[in-house]
Amino acid sequence: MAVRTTRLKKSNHFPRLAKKSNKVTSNPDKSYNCIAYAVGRTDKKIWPSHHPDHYWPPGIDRGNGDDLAGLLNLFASHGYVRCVDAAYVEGVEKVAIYTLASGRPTHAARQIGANRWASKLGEWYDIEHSEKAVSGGDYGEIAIFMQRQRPA
Amino acid sequence: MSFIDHSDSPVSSRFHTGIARLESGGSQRATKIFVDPQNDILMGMPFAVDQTVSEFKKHKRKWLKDTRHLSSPIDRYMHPSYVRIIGLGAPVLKIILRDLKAEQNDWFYALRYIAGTDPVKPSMAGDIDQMTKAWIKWGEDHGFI
Repeated sequence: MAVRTTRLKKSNHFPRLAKKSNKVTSNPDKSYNCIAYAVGRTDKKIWPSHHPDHYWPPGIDRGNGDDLAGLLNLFASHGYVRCVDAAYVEGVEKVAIYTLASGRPTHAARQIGANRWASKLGEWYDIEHSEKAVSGGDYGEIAIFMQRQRPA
Repeated sequence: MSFIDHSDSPVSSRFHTGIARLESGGSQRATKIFVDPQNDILMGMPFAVDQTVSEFKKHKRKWLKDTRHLSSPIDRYMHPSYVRIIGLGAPVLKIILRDLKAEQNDWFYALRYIAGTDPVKPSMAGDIDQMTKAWIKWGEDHGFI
């Protein structure tokens, strides 16, 4: 199916999203969210909250439900460990976790190249974007980077 | 303002009922009135006609526009328009269920609160197709669809 929109415009939601810094790679899809996409799933919405509408893998501590702890545990279960920055390293896969100033998580993105990241925007599009493109608005800022060896 | 005569259903031999409909600012309000054909309108009783539908559509549109890019359940379900739709209460259940069936919008939180039940099993969590089917079946079983 052809993707109807090719680039997103800057908005109040994404004040740093220059058109040249992003590329839409899918049509909107309500089946999965950013966390699912970051861990490679497109069949469920994943979130650590206690809302029964979201999947959470059994055996993973979800923390308090809407803080970083649950997401750190989830990514750790996929082999990620915390790292210091977004520098691209061949053979290494990184994720960025975004939070509001309060520390509440809002989003996660997966690195796909040098200053290239892949995100699922809620129930909306999958996009590729530069490191800062989706921060500064509703997602807050990147709070944590994690990395693992890129799976073969 | 328009007036629809419902004179086939008089509330008494003296009064006829009717509906006065006023549209203003995108909302619609109707008032049931009792008319004495010999005199003026005697009494009006305000009630909503299609107001639940119009409120739902208005707030659904705003909610989708404002939250389609968000994943956090707090941000999505605590949006003022989503809360407003929950506040419409039982009259909006049928509307939500039809919307869920047609568009699979994320009404699961609202449905739980309004209906006071949850037909979604824990094993269905996060699977929008299964969750939708569970609620549609519940709606059918309870005569909403």
